[in-house]
Amino acid sequence: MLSHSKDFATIRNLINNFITMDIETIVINNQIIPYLICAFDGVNYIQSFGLNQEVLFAKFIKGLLTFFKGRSKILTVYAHNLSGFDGIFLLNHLIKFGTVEPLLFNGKLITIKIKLDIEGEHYGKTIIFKDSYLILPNSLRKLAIIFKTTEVKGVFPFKLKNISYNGAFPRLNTFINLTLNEYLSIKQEYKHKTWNFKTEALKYCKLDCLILFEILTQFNELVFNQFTINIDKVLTLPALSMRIFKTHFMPEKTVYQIHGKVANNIRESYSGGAVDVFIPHNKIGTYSISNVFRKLWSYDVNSLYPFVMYTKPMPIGLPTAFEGDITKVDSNAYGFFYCKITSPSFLEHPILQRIIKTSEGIRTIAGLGTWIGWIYSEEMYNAIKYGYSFEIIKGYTFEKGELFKSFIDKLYNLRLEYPKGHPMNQIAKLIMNSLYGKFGMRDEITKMEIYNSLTVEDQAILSSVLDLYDSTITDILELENHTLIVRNSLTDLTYNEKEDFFHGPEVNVAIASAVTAEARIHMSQFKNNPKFHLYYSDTDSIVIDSPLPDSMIGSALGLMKLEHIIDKAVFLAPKVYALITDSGQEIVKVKGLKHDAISKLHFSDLETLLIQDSTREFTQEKWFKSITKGTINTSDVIYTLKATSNKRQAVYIDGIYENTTPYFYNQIELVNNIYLPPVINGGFHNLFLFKILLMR
Amino acid sequence: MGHLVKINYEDKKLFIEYLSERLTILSDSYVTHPISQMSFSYIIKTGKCLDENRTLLLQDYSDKNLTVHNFNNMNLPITMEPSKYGEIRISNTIDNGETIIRYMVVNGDKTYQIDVCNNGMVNKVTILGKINLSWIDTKINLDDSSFKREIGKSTLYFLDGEIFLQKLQLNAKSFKRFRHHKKPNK
Repeated sequence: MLSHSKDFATIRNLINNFITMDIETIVINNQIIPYLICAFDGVNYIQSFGLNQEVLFAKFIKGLLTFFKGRSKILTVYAHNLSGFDGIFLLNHLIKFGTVEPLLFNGKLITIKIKLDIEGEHYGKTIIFKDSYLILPNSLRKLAIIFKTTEVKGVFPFKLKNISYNGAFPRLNTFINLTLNEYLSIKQEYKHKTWNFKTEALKYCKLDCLILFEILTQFNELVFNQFTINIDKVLTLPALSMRIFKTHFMPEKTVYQIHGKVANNIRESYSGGAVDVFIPHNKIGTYSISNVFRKLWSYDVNSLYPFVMYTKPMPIGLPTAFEGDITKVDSNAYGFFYCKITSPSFLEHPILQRIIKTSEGIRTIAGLGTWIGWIYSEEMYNAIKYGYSFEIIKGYTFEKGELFKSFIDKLYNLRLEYPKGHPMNQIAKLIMNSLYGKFGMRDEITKMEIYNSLTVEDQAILSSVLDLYDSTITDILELENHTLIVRNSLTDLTYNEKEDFFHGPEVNVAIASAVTAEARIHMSQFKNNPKFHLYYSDTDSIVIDSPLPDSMIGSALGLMKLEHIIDKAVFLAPKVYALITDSGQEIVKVKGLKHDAISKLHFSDLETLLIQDSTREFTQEKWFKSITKGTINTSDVIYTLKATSNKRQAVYIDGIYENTTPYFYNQIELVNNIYLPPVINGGFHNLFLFKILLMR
Repeated sequence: MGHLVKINYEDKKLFIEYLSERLTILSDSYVTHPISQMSFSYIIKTGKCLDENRTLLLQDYSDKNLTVHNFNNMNLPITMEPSKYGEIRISNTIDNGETIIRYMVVNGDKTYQIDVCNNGMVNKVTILGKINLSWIDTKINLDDSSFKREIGKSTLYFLDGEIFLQKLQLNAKSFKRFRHHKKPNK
């Protein structure tokens, strides 16, 4: 088996059947412009340099053709972040070389396939561009460290805008995320040399190709040695995880495809983890005077989703539809039920959440009241213990069965077998966590099709296509003798008359919904618990004011891990908080802000936002991508962090955000898009919690 | 839809009625896809077919004076009492390790074969003839008249002649297993 980079030399001499590529860009007039493209096949590099985009891409494609070896007809090219970057530029330029088939999923360009239509020996051959980031979702720099590549990723002055520059080593402010010491050390190497933009860019770009090649080769070897699966068969990490599951762990005739109405119904029970602020800070007494803080403990569950997949039964077998109250004939009926749900009249931490329309937009809120909706049976039985009541109207029952035990067992043991720094440890973690979501994938996909529109015949075909797809078309774009159509597609779903079922992608939202629901059930033990006060909770973590008993702590799946003991804490909103730990470490998390902006924030900055109506602004560069136009533009955007509210009702005392209470759904839910103001006005003007507002 | 049925030319109307009955039995109440085409294969013979071959077409499909369960336009009695199905013509006891009391009950043109098993807890009912429809009724509670009926892919639960729960097993395609790759791609 290949272990780390030491064995890489032997691999490097082999001809791997994939290529790695990278595009370097500069920003001109707020537009990101490619100027260099390199690719590597494990032995040779190709490169294309210059600002003329047509020439740049044409030379690159021509260079790629030299990688076709022998009778091989397919070339696979990996770019790290194809979907978010390289692919956006590539797509438009590829059209001139053949028939292009891009694949979009959730608005993301997952892969681009081109069947070459150029005269000569390469006619009819195929190039497939894939995104390695979708298989290894980490930055190349981090991956290089995890996979211990032979070379470390280089640094480059991305803010230098002159590609003809030749002179002294660029200034520190042209580099991003480089410390002064690192800068000085690199500068020292150029003490007696001139620094040439093109030479250095080539070196940097080729190095990225080499590093990505080494990482993918190692990754392929490690995955193959463990699971006898080649990574080129999949496009994403969840797909790899599913392939491993289906090859080695899935029992025959256990998991069935769920589509159509059944899937739509069950999907209504499918939501993620509960993230809520319960108590906004840990200061005791009057905020402006007191300097006393209550000690807090922050815990994470070890691999929460793998834990519930390992220990809890899953809905397997064929669904059975029912109408009526199933519990009258089976008090332990298992499945997904459509019910009239009534919460207790008051519960400090409601444990059932709903996705509802509010005047602020669509929100997932754990509130109180009566509503009708779909729920996973086990979440229902758990809620009954907390005083919820249910009237079951209809639903689907499933068999209860063990499904993921051997899969999680294998991957968890791999994590124990390999030390934390070993890539296999990381790979096992990624594969283990990526499986369940694949079951919950929607069966609708976005299709992008490119049609010729030059001749009358072409235009007639195009016209009939437009008629055929009609309202499913979401975008049409003219590109030089071609027309690109983006449409939502369910066409892979076909009805099998003989056997009376829909045949489509292998998805089963019941399993995905059961996994997330079981995780919420597990976390519900920390809510409404008289043994401690709950300040904040995320999908798999809690912050409380008392240590948990030792019996709950450990390294095993599902046990709790102490993350921090906290001296000072401010929780402004889900995923917006600041902590100072007992060791003096300052931790600031603000969802939506980039590392650069967060690094300038301190505990005290978030603390001042506890004051009613206070705000803070941040400027951050944002990219505006257009797949259809093939451009990426940048623009500075102002983010305002301010007091608004969307998950629980804020309680202000003397102008300080002191506490929260659950909402009653009838106060905040929009019915048929009409906002119904509450009958009783008490505190409703305080409805707005903290929210990040985007201002252009 | 069925096997060869012998009819005379003048039986056209009866035959269409028979087909529509047959069709409703074959289709499932939860399936809503339309029938796109029907194929008939036939052969014309000289002479007339006898009445005994035509009995199928002459059935009276209406069961009167009974609380009924409408299964695809066919009325089935909601009861576990054989005597309420109609007139009991024969009853005998069969002992194959388990004691079964078999009733032959006639109501109109329907003949029911009701096998009462498990000390009256389970009835296996078959409508004899070409319709050949059968189901199983099982008592849920000894204290009341509740029972469940498993018919086709459906299960219905009755209490006092009313359906209080119905279930239908849905069909779906199972996930396919993948094969291992024999060698790494290099």
